Order: sequence, then structure tokens, then C-alpha cells
Amino acid sequence: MPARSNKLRSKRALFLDIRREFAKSITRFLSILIMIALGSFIFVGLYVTGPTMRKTVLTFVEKNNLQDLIVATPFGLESADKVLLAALPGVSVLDYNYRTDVLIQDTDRVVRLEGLSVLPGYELVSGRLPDKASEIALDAEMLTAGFALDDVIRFTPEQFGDEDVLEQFSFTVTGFVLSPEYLALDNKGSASIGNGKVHYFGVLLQESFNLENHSLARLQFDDVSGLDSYSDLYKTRMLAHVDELDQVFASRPEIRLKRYQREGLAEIISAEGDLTEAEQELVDARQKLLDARADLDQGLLDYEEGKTTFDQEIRDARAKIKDGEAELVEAKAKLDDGWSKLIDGEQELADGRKAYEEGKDELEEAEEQLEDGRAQLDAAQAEIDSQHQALDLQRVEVESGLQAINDGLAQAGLSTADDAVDSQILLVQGQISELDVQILVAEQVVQDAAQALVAAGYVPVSEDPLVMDDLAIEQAAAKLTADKDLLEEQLLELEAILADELATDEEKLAAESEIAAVEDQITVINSELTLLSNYQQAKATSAALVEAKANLTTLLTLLQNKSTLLAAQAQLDAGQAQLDQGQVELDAQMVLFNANYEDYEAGVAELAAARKKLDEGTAELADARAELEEGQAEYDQGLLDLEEARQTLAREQAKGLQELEDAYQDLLDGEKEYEEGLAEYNDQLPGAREDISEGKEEISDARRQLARLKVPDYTIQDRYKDPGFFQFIENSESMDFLSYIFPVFFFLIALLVSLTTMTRMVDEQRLQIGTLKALSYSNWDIVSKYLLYGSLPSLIGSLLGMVAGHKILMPTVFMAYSSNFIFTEAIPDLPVIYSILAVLISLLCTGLVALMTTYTSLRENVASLLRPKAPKAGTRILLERITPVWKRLSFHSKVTARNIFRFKKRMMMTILGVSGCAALIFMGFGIRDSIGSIIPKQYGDLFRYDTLVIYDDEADPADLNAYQELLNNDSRISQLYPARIEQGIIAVPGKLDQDITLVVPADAAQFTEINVLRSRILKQPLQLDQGAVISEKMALLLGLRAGDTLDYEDPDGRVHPITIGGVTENYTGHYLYLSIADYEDLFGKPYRPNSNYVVLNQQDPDMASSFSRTMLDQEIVFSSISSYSTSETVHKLMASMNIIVLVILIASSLLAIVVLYNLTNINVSERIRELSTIMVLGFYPKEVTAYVYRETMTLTAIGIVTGFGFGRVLHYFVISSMAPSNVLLDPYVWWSTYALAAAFTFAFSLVVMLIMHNRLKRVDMVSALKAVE
Amino acid sequence: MAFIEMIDCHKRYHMGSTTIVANNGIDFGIEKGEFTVIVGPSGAGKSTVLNILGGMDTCDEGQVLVDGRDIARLSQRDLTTYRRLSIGFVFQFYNLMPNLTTLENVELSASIVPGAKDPELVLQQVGLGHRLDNFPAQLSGGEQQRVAIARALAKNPKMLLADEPTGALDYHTGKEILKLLQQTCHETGTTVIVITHNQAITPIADRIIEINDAKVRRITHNEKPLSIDAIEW
Repeated sequence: MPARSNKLRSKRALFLDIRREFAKSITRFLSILIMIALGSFIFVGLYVTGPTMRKTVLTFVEKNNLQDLIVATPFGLESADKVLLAALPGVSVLDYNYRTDVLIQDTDRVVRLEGLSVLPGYELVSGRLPDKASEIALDAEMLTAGFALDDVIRFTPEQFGDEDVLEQFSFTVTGFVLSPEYLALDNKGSASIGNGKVHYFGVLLQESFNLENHSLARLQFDDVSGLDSYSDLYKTRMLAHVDELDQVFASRPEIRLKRYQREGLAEIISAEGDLTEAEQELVDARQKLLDARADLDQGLLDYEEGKTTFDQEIRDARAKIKDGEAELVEAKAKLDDGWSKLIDGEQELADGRKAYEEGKDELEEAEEQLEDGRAQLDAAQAEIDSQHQALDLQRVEVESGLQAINDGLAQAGLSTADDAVDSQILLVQGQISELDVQILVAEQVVQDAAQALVAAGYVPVSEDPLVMDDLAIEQAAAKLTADKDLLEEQLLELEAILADELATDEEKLAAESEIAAVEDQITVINSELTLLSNYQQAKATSAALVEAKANLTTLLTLLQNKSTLLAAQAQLDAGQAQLDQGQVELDAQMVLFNANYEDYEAGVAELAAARKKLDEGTAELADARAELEEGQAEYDQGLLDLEEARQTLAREQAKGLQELEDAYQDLLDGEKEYEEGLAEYNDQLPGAREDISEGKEEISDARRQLARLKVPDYTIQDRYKDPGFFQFIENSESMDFLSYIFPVFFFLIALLVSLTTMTRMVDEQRLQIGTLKALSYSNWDIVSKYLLYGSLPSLIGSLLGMVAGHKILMPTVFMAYSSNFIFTEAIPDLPVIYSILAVLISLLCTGLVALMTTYTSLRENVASLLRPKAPKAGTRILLERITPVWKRLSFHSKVTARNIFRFKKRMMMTILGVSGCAALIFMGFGIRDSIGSIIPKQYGDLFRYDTLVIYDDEADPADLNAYQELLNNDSRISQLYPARIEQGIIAVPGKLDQDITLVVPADAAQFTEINVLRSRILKQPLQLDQGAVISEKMALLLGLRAGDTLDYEDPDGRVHPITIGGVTENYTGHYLYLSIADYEDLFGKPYRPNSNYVVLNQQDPDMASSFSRTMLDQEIVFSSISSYSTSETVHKLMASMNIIVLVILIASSLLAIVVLYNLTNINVSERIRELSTIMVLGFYPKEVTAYVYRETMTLTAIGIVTGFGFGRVLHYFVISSMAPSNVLLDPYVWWSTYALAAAFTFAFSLVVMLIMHNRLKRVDMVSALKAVE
Repeated sequence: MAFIEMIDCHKRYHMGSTTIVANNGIDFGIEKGEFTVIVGPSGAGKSTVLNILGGMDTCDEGQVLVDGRDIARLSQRDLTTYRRLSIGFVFQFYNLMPNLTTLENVELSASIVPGAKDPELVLQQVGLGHRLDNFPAQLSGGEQQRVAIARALAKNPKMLLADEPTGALDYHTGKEILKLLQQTCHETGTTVIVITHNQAITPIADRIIEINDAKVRRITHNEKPLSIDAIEW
């Protein structure tokens, strides 16, 4: 793809070209970069400062729970107040707390002490919060005043009413804290002690306070919780809450005043009672002295008596001890005797015990033997008995057997004699044998009969004819009998028939035959019946024979048994004899054993007796020993007791003596005391009388004080009334205003010059562009080169500026504004929109311009592009037509003049750029002027008094007189100017309500000598009799002029429309001056002065400070403010402003240098050919530079002059937006500012000239001349 | 000794790593009041010679003696003074101040030299007496070059250096300019050195120095220089 690679190569060439371009014109690149960077540095840096300041303060107060609202009153909140507060709707937190002001001991530093509670939170800088009543956490600012952890801080005891305000007045420092209520370092509130200003705060536990009532209540509200405190919603809602509280507490001061008056009266009455008491006390004291004398005398008597008693007691005790000693000696002898006896007894007992032990052993051996013998004997006896028993059993058995047999024999009719047995047996055996033969015959008969029966078919065949079924035989017999009966009946019937006359012959014949048949049958049956009975007979005979045999066999058995039994009987008799012999032997042994056993038992009894004796002996001995030991112990104790008794005696004696001495000393002391008391009484008597009269005076004082009791006012303030919070928020807003004007202007200049530079650069590159185009690079390729070249520096520059703005400018300005506050670090809120804007605008002004200029060039054809743009032809200028002037100009002036007008565009740009920078520098110095002039103007020109003392005009006339007296006699005072001062409020649309001081001088003509009333510009004196005069800033805020009406709201909330007669020059605070007549007219009450403007003899701060202290010591003086302390506050504001001025100056100076450099650079490069020519002609470098610089200097001069104009406008806008609502910054600038702005700008121009001069020296004139361009 | 003498002059230019030798031991001498033409092809080193002679450049080695003074070792400031008092330049592209009139251009030059000629007179000499108040843009090329010559002459220089004075001009105008230069030389006795690549004009010179490849190749002394009208190219 050759086409593609070509394209790539050409692209590469283009990039190379771009890189060369950067390298070649690095200074131009850098200067655009720097300008853009400076522009976005200022733009972004200043724009984000306001939001950052707000975020910082809001974050801090939210984190540390600053209350939404605080209600405080110097007299403390009563339960009635608490009821009102508790009834408020929508309160999320209601937190009561104590607060009191004290002085650090031996200084005039006022510390405001706060109790530790729910609200607000404290941020620890070091250490910890107090957790004991004796601990305190201090304001972190005190670290710089030399306080350290664990120090002990002491306060001058302060009282409220009659009570100390604190439980103690020295505390251990446990930590250093920051509080959201004390954001401003130099504005922590005003105090009624010290020099009237709160210097520090401290945090204690609530229990460290000794106040009857809570001093204040801090509140949080539900409907604003979580809201951004800077939001309109928050402000609106809080306004409603404040209004509500104002209404709720509107009637409280009056009610409390009335009650205080009542209570005061009661106190006075009770004090009078106290006085009466005191008088009584004096009388009592005298009586007490008299009593004491009597007591002393009695005491002496008592002493003597006591001493006698004591001596007697000692003697008695000594006698008792002696008796005890004698008793002990006696007891000792008895004890020794007892001991020797005891030892003998114990020896005896030991012997006895040994004998006993031996006897006991012997007996135990004998017992063992006896037990063995007894066992043997018992076993033998048992054997004999058992054998005896068995014999008897056998004998009974044999005899009963014999008896039974004999009975049987007798029954059989046989002799029962024992010796006939053998013969009888033989006889029976013979008879049995005979019977056996007979049985065999009988059985043969039966068998025959049976066979006959079987044959006859009466009985079934049976194997054993002897056991034929008898039943069957019976049945057969019965049947046969029945059949015979039936046949006989038939016979009868038949015979009847025969007998019957009526029967026919035939019938008779038949019957006769039948009778014959029947008779036959009967005969058969009869024979058969005979057969049957034969069998039965035979069978019976056989059975009888068998039975006889059985009887004989039984008899034989009996006889045989009898024989056996007779033999057994003989054996038994022999056994019996043997047994009897054994029994005799055993009995003899038994007798022997019994005798031995008796001996043994006697031994046992003896031993037991010995044992008992031994035990008794032992017990006796033990008792004796115990007794002895007890006796010994008693004796020992007796010794100890005696010793103790001796010691006790000694001690008691000493003690008694001491007591006696003491008593005597007491008596002496008492005497002395009495003397002293008497002296004191005599001494103090006049003093006490004086005190009483003083007390009486005090009571009348109290009556006076009661008369001028002040209305207890309630302070109800939300966050926007909190001085620290509000001031910081206001600062952030003036920062916003500042950033609307200054950075935009600044940025504009930077952009303008960058734009010119870019245009110029593209113009210079005509030939290049033409060449590239001729080489058929696409338009886009060419454009992109310049787009890149234009965009890169502004991209880098704006990003650098943005970062530096965030990191350097914002923190610097923030710290400048925060120098009077506790904030040491910004919590950045950096809306990204400003950064984006800065980058975008920068890119538009360089990149886009490059793009458009290049496109314009590209629209020309290549040929014309390749031709150098004809150098701008010279023309005659207007000035030449004014011949007289022109003629008078030097040659060089003419050249310069013509050159200036030759490049009109560049001329305009140079003038604009230079005037812009000059304007910025002018503004910087101007702001310094305006701020710096406040103090000399306000406190030098306008306020010429040293101190303003405000007192209570409703105080007791006596006090007022005393105060006047004091003033009249104070040698420090040069002059006094009485006036009436009231504080009012003016509502300003779109801003917070402004406090205004109403001043009504007693003598207007005199007063204006020390408080000048005049118009600012014309310095025309203003007269009060021409209507009310208001201070200028108020008129400015409201857009009022003489003749307009101002709505003045007095402290009671009533609004009075006041017609303005004039506007007076004034720089800090708002003032409204009225004549006495107007005052009485407007407020409808008689005029009474309540303050004195004081001019002192010496104008110095120390004098003013000491005078203020003297004034504040006066009860009726509310405040005494030295002009010096006020001006000091303003001075601090200026110090912080100066830092911002410095930032503006530095940035503007840098911008001026870069702008001048750039413009000159353009000028030089555009005319390098001309310059080379004159160099070749032999112009010295100085002359060459002058040739160019004559123009630049002229343009710079013009720029500076126009810059003054721009600068004044800019300065006016900036100071009117930068100033707090109650401060007027005088737009007047000193001549030095003009001079400085001019000098700075010229100086920068010279610096650039030097740079240029050096560059020109190095110009290669040859090549510049050669170049066709 | 000749009025101008260049002895063994070396000049090297360093362009990055490469070194270009512009003059490599140039040696020549020119007598006072001579009309000299230095001729050579482009890049031969003749412009370098002119720059050195004119005090716009210095040589690295060798001597350049002008009226007995070695200018090769002068400081920048002395070189400027040398240019200011001794040299009159005529450029190819005239290099007039576009914002100054004809007269002012000459005055500018005259104002820096003590004993300068009257600008108006010089302009009349070069035949521009009627164009005094015109701006350069209103003049033709030839007229502009005449103004340039007048500007150089007004300083009453020891020598007049002309670098391709006819380079931007047409034939006839070029001839007229050369004629003017020759006349000036002969009439005022000013040493004139003209640099050209055009061999054709060498016959009008008193001395011809041919330079090629950074060295002087030939120096010709022309006893009988031709009039400008006699030559053609």
C-alpha cells in the first residue's frame, strides 16, 4: 500500500514540522502558556475561594454543633423562661448552660467561661476536655499567650449578687480547644469587666459554676436540621424562629424588672434585720467575756481537787501490786511439789501398763487354743448325733416293714413267727408250682370252648382264645336269648292257631309244620346257648386259678421281704451299740474341755479388772497434769499481770501528771485568751459600731440601686447574628464579588494577547502553509498543525493555572481572609465549572483562533500564499498634515510616529494590553490606599475623640452626680462632649439587617468639632438643623439621598420614618445623627444625654486604655470604648487585605511582563528585516533597540494613561464589592498610586526591553536580509 | 600594500554535526578606487567574503586588512562602528524602510555618520530628485535600488559593497544600476566591490576575482575596463 505509507510518511513529516515549530518558537509557546496559566490561575483561584470559605466555616460549625439559635440574658434564665422555651414548637435540642466572664488574676484579660454540655461541640487542639470540677479547657488562642497543659490558671474571684460565680477560681488546664462560637479571634464579645472586651474563652464542667440560674439556652430546630446553613430556606426558617422567640420573650423583661424590685425591697428589709442582730451580737459578746472569767476561776479550783485525788490513786495502786507479788511466790512452791508427784505416778503407771500388756498376750493365746478344742468337740458330737438319727430312721423303717409283712402273713393265715419264715417260703413255692399245672389245664378247656364258639360263628376268630371279647360273647348270648324268646312267642302263636277253632285245617297244618320248624330252631339255639355257657365257665375257672397263683406269688414276696428285714434288724442293733460307745467317749472329753474354759474366763475377768485400774490411773494422772499446767499458766499470767500493772501504773502516773500539767496550762491559756478576748472586745467595739453604721449606709445604697435597676434584656441570636460566623460568611461573599470583576478582567487581557499572538503566528507561517498546500497536504492536516500549536499551550497553561489556582492562590487568599479567624486550613469546595470554563475559553481563544486564521489563509490560492505578503506600505499619517508640529519633531520622532500608526491593530493591542496591566496594578495599589485610608480618615479626620463612654441615664441621680463629679475631676480629660446614643436597626433589602448608631449631640456645633459631619467629595460641613444626617455607606446601601426617607427601627421594635437631610463621610459603621429637636419630635420623649465623647490630654493608646478601665469601674457605665481599640480591629482587617493586594500585584505584574514581552516580540519579529537593515547600516545595538522601543515606550505611556482610567473603574467596583456591609472603602486613590502604577508598568517595559535588547544583539542580520520571506 | 587585503582567510560554518567550509584560504588584494567584481557560482563562498569584508561576519583564520587595519579580530561593537563609518551596502532586495520616504531612507543612513553627504543631493545624483517624498512601495525596482545606492553613498563610505545588485532587476534596469555603480566608482573614487554570479559583467571591472569551491581561482587585473554599454548578456 504505497499510497498509505506515503501518507504516513508525510504525516510524520508534518509532525516533525510541528515539533520543530515548537522548538523554534519556544518563547512564544511559553509566553502564551504563561499568560493563559496566569489568567486561569487568577480566574479559577479567586472563583473557588468564596465557596471554599463557606464550606470551611459551615463544615466547622456543623461538625461542632453550633446552635441554630441562642437565648441569653445577663440575669440568667428563670423557670418562667424555661417554661416558655420548653413550649416552643419544633425544637429538637434545648440545651441550658452557664456562662460568666472573669479576669485572669493580676491581668485585665477577660475570659468568658462556658459550661460543657450538648451544644456546642469543642474541637480539641491538644489535651482533653475537663472531667473534674477543678479542670478547665482553654481557648486555643491562649497557647500563643504562653499557657500550657497542666498549668494552673487563676481568676480574680467574681461575684454575682452575693455569691461567687464559680465554686473555685483556680483550675488545672487539661486542654486547648476551638469553639464554633468563637470563630473570630479578635471579636469574642463584649464584657462588663476588664477593658470591656472578651479576650479568651474557657470551658468548665457545669458543676464548676455556682450560678442560681442558667445563663443561656442553646436551641436546635427540627425544620432546619440537615439544611445547608447558607441556603435561603435555612435563613427564612430561622427568621421565623427568631421572630417567634422575640414575641415570646417580649414581655419578660418588664415582668422580671418588677419582681426584682419587689425582691430587692425584701432584701433590704432583711438586711435591716441583720443590723439589729449585729447590735445584739455586741451585747452578747460582752456577756460571753464575763462568763469566761467565771469559768476560769472554777477551773482553778477543779484542778487542785483533781491533783489530790490523783496522788491517792497512785498510792493505792502500788499497795495492790505488792500483794500480788506475795501471792505469786506461794503459788510457785505449790506448783513445784505437784510436779514431782506427778512424775512418780506416771512411772508407776507405765510399769502396770507393761504387765497388763503381757497378761493380755497370754490370754489371747489360750483363747485361741480353747476355740480350737471347742470346735473339734462340737464336730464329734454332731457326727454322733447324725449317725444316731440315721439308725433310728432305719429301725422304724424295718419295724414298719416287718409289721406290714406280718399283717399280710396273718391275713394269709400264716404264722407270723419270725423263725417260720424259711419253711413257709418253701411251702408257698410248692403250692405255686401245683397251680401252674392247673392253670394250663383250665386254659386248654377255654381254648376248646372258644374254638367251638368260633366255629359256631358267635365270636370272631381271636388269636388268643383266652381273651375273647366278653362283650361280643355277652351280645351273642343276649341275641340268642332274644331269638329264643321270639321263637317261643311264635310257638305260642302257632299253638294259638291250632288252638283256634276257627282256624282252618290248612292253617292248622301249616301251623303244625311251622311249630315243628320253630321247635327245631329253639333246640339249635339251646345248644348254642350251652356252648356259650361252657366257654364262660371254663374261662371263669381259668381266671380263678390265675388269681390264686397271683395271691401265692404276693405271699412269697412278702415272706422273702420279711427275711431281708430281719437281717437288717440285726445290723441295726450292732450299729446302735457302736454309737453308744462313741457317745460315752465324747462326753468324757467334754467334761475336760469345760474345766479348761472356766480357767480361761477367770483369766479374762482378771485382765479386764487390771485394765480398768490402769485407765483410772492414767485419767487421774492426766487430770493432775492439767491441773498443774493450769496452775502454772495462772502463775505465769500472774507474773505478766503484775508487770503490766507496774507499767500501767507508771504510764497512768505520767499521763495523769501530764494531764494535770495540761489542765494547768489550759487554765493559763484560758486566762490569756480571756485577756485577749477582753482586749479584742475593747479594740473592736468601736469598729463594730462603725460596721453597723456602715451597714446602715449600705442599706440605703441598696435602696438607691434598687431604684435604678435595669430592665433585664434578652439576647436572641441565630447564626447570622453570631459575629464570627456572620463575619466569615460576609468575607466569603465579598470574595465572590471580587471574583466577578477582577479575574474576568485579568483573564480577558491574557486571552486578548494570546489571541493576537496566535494570529500573528499564523500570518508568519503563510509561506509554510502555502508550501504544505502546494505539497498537497489536506487542509485538515495543515489546520491541525496550527490547531495543535494553538491548543497545546493553552491547554497546558490553563491546567497549570487551574491547579496553581486551587493549590496556591485559593489557600493564600483564604488564609488572608482567615487570619483573624481560627481557621488554619481550608476545606476546599472547588466547583469544577470554573476550571472547565477556564480551559474552554483558553482553548477557544488560541486553538479556535489558530484554526480560523489558518482557514482564512487557506482560502487564498497557493500562488498568492507562496508570495510573501507585501510589507505594509508606508503612508502619511494625519500628524504630517499638521505641518508646524511635524516639522518640529525630530527625525526619529517622525519615524516613530509613522511606525506607530503604521500598525494600527498592533498599536491598539499594545495600548490595551499595557493599560490592562497598568489598570490591575493601579487597582492593587488603589485597594491598599482605600483600605489604608480608613483609619487615618475615620479616626484622624472624622472621629477626633479618644474615648466614648456610655452610661445609664436612668440611674440614681446621686450616682449620676458622682459620675459627673468623677469626670469633672479627672485630670486626664481635656474636653467632654455629652450626647445621647441609641442602637437601632435598618433593614437592607437583600442583605442582613444593619445595626445603626443613633447619635444626638447635646451641642451640635461643638460636637461636630470631634465628630466631623461633612460630604465626602466636597468636604462641605453638614448641619443637623437641616434634618437627619446618615453615614455614607448606609445611604449607598439603600440608594438614599438627601430628602429621602429612612426607616429606623428602635430597640423596642418600633419603626420611625426619618427624612434625610444629608449624607456624611464615614468609613466604618453606620451612624444616624439627629438634632435634639428632631429626636424629641420623632421619639416623643424628652432628650437626656447618656454618653460622653471624651478628648484626653494625651493622645496615646495606653492612656485611653487606663481611662477606659477607670470608667468601667463605675457601676453606671455600660461601656467605654477607646478609638484606638476600634481602629486596631480595622487595622487587622487591612493587614489581611494587604495579602490579597500583594497577590493581585504579583499576578498583574507577571501578566504585564508577559504581555509586554509578547507584544514586543511580535513587533520585533514582524520587522526583523527592517531591524537587520539598520544593523547592517551600522546602527549600534542601543540604537536598534531604541528604534523599536521608542514606539513601545510611547505606546506604554499611552497604555498607562488609559490604564489609569480602567484602573479607577476597576478599583471602584472592586472596593465597593469587597467592603463589608458596614464599611465604606474610599474610592479616592493617592497620587502615589498613579506614580507606582506607572513606575511598575514602565519598569516591566524596561525589563522586557532588556530581554529584547539582548535578543536583538544576537540576531543574524545576514540571514534575515537574505530571507525572501 | 593594497587598500584591501584578505590573507589566507578561512571560514567554516557548523551546521549540527557537519561543517561547511565557506572560505578555505582566500587570498586577494584590492587597490583603493578600484571597481572589483567577485564572481563565482552559487555557493562558491563569495557572499561569505563580502560579509567578512563588510564587517557582518568574522573569519576563523587569516587576516583582513582594510586600509591597513585588521578587521578580522574586531569586537562586535568595533565591527558595527566599522560598518557605520566605512561601509556602504547595496542589497539584492534593496531593503529599504517601507515606512520611510525616499528622502527619509537616505536621511536615516546619513543621520548616523558624521560628515555625511546631503541626502537630497545624493538622491539627485542617482537621478531621483523628483521622487523624494515617495514611499518605497511607490517606486519601481530600479528606483528602489537607486535609493539603496543613495543610502549607501550618503554615508560617504570607504567602500561600497553590492551583493547581486541586479539580481532582482530586469536586464535594462540592471545595466543602469551597474552603470551607476561604475560611475560612482570612477567619479567619486569610492572602492566598489560587486558580487555576482554573472560572468558577463566582468569586463567592466578593474579587477576580477574568481572564486570557486571556497578558494580564489583567479585574479585578473583589467587594464582597460569596458563601458557597461559595451557589454551584453
